[in-house]
Amino acid sequence: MKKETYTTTLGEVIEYPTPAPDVAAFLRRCIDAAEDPRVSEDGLVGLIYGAENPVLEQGRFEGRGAVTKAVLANPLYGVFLDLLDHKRVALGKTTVDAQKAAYSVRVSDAAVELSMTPDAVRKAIVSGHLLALNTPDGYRIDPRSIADYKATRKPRGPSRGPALEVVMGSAPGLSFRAKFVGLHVVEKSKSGDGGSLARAEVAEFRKGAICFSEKKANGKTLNRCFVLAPAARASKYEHGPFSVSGKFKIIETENDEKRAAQLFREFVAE
Amino acid sequence: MIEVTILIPLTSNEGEEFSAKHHAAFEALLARTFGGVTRVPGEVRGVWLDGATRYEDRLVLYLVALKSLTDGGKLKRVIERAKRHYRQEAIFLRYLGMAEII
Repeated sequence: MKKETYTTTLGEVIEYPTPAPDVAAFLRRCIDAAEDPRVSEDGLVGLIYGAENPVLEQGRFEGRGAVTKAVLANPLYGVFLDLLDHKRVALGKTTVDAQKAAYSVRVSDAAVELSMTPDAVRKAIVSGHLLALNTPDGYRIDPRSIADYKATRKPRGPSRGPALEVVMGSAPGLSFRAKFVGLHVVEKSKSGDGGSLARAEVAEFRKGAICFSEKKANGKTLNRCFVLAPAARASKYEHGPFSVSGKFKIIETENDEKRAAQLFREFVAE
Repeated sequence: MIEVTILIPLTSNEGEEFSAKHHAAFEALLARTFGGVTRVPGEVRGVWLDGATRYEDRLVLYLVALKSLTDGGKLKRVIERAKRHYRQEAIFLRYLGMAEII
């Protein structure tokens, strides 16, 4: 495929495939308009973003072309944008030196500031996350885009553990049950006394419930149900060998034997 | 569809002109977020008062289309990025015949 090149106002080279005749003709019109002192910046904006531009998507906005993801991927889009810079320099609204001055940070310095490797910084430039100028001495990055990138980057590091860890099951005269969305049993075991133990994790939750039941020596049954919600501080609730630990708070307690059983039975975890 | 006009400054508060590359990055964000963006010809002049300091802005207009009001959250995130990208305290929006400074 034949390629053409265009050198931007700031000296970068954009390579693009030889365009179709209608695109080539429209590009020529835009270049001529950028160089014609009788054409205002507004006039050039109207042409580039207008309904005649075959590179932009037509039909999304009435009478105007739209820049979409597909247009962003077309190197000709970069050429059109640079023509606007070219026009502003020609009209004396800015200078090449003033534009270049914005790109001042070396890759190595940006890497230190961002706690990244220089290669990762170059990848961030190529992917558009960092604004940089490609100079003969290497990339020069706009410090404002470094600050912006810092603010939007997700923190790296070890992944957070589950929101809750639950040990539930049954023992003679005792049971502990839990209801959480996404409750995931990681380990099960049987105890010598006929009971069972299950260790489970909850990755995240909005509301869950635990219910324990204990047969007392006097023949009465103790039923208790708690509704839990996320909290900022870690807590642990234990009953015999069973427990729930993590960042939770108890937002509802039911100590009545029958109502506790009903609350847990009817509870819908979120 | 709800058309929203976002007014973006041509210079920083210190008077530095934003380059085509700078605007291209913001256009890319709008295109990725809303599917498409266009620029409306024309320049708007605005005056901001911050205490005793008077700032004069030259602004250009970007137009995006929200599928519904429920896309308001996306718009809010884009405006927060625009404030950082253009070093502004606030961004002026026009939609549904109303104006808002966020």
